[in-house]
Amino acid sequence: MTLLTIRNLGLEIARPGSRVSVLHGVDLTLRAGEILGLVGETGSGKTMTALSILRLLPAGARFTGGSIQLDGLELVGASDADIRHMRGRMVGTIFQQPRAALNPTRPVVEQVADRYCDLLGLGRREAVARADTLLRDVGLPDPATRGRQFPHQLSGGMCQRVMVALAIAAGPRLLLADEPTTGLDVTLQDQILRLIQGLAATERMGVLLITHDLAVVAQVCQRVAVMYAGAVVESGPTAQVLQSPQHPYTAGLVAAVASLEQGARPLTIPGVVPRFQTPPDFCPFVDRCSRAFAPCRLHKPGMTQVGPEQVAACHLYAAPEAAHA
Amino acid sequence: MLELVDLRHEYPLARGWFDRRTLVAVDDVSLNVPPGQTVAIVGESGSGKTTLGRCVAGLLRPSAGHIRLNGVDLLSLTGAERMTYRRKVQMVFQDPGESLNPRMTVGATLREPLRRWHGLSGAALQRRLEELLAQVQLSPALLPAHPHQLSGGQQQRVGIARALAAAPDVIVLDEPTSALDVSVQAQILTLLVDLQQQLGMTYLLISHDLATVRYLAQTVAVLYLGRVVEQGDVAAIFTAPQHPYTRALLGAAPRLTAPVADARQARLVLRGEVGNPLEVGPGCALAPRCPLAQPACATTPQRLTPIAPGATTHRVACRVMTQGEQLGARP
Repeated sequence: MTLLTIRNLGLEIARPGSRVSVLHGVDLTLRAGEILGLVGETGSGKTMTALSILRLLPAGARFTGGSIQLDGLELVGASDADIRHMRGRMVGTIFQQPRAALNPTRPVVEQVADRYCDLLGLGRREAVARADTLLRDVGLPDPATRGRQFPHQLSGGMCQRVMVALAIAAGPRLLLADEPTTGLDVTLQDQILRLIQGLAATERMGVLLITHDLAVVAQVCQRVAVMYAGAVVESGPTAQVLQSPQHPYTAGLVAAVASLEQGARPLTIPGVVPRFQTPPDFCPFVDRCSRAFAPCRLHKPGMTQVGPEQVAACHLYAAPEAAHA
Repeated sequence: MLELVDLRHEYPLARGWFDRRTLVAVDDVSLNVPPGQTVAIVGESGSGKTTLGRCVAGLLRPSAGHIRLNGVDLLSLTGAERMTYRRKVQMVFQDPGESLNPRMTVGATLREPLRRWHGLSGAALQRRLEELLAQVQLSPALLPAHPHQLSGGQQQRVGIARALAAAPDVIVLDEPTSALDVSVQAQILTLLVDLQQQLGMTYLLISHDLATVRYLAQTVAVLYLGRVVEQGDVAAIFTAPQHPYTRALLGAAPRLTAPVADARQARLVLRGEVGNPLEVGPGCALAPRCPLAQPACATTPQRLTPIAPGATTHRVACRVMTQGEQLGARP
């Protein structure tokens, strides 16, 4: 069942004297119980996509088009009250730096209990009891003692477990996890990823996992979408996309990681990610692409089917008439 | 040649007048870094790898042991000799944005060590500056730029150029790519290898990223709570890790390409999190978390021992693994 559908989403940020198009053409589909990896480099727009769902956008941001449908509800154009009601109840969020996202002045169990009071309207005593249980469920070691401690007394891994508890307290259908394991050691990363996998499998939660790490995607995501300079350039089942990437950008990323993993000289993508004032009317990857040809500078490529359930936005695969349309 | 002998670093806890307790961050580490090679120190947060790197770079004074560069002990040096050591051992830091002075342009950042260490000025300074930029593949157009105007990859290139400007014998690379994007990471790693080949540079690499270690280093030492638990050639450690901690670390790292299946190397999962360095007993520091631990592990001091008689380069500090059968290399 489709939980989240984003179609052709556009977002720009206007500041005095400058305007930047941050998203231009984001297409995503996420089903219940599925983990979708959203990968891309710094500035590719993956975090902005997640913040668009929550409408936690910086000042001056506005949607320039497209739609975000969550469980049949249109979020672009929904009232602020509806969005507020959705946050926490329908969508839970885990951020990258758990200690910075937690309140440093309150014991963690109280913070989790606040969610039950605020979002579900429980009484304080019941809320604390439920919070205790939840902290145990997310694997906080020695929850009776640790729960009474403050964030600075917990390790990074423990704080991230508390973040997961906060995110899922009100039973959301969608979990947004923005770089949930960046900065954690590999053994802790492994534990947090298993916890997220468990939630998707047992609670049928849909998870949008934002990461720059293709190896993490390979390990936990059923499907993956690759973003480049504000647009999704390729998406499909993880195994297929990573084993036979079709977009030259995806192919470059996969080759960089795979060659390094095998102890070989890593293959690199030349140049840096561009930034656009206005949505580009050509392929955003053209200047770094080794396979670029004439149409790439003339038209923006549309999404083309390149395999079973696999699509890519690249002129190499576009039908000839589409390229000249 | 850089040699570390029984290096130890303790941080005083100073919790009161009578509290003389210390936190032992690095405990009896011995290592040789041959010229022109890369030796990696691998470990998780709290393993002491950064403290070790800072001791080698002369930024922290070790509590005991020796750091010898070409036979001269850093701890015996004073004044000008000590400054010369500091020139010869340079450091590249993890977060290039944080480690560059935000108020200094790229040009000012690179001119300073050239003047300071080599007394260059005028045309000679300019010539060396251009040479440095070419070595790290940065455009001279960036000389008037401030760090915030650069991308992460460009910032790290400036960090590397600043280290090279001193004309060092050894560069300590502290997580040189962990703050960078994948494609940029690959660019910086290939740059580091090219520089090593061109200049015969010696690297001490500090990293938690196993793929980086495998690509850059020839020798690796695995650190857990300040102690080396396994040490050897990169090839040997990656194909046939012996210590339960090394095996857990390699097993936990997500991989893009499927690992070679090997029943005997079945994943080893440790209990809980990295222990409290103040509560390490006389025995193996990993014992409370280790699935293979026997009661004696917690009380018997562990020493690095060759994994097999004659195999002097691959050593492990684990009584279970050195008594029992060795794990063979993957086919």
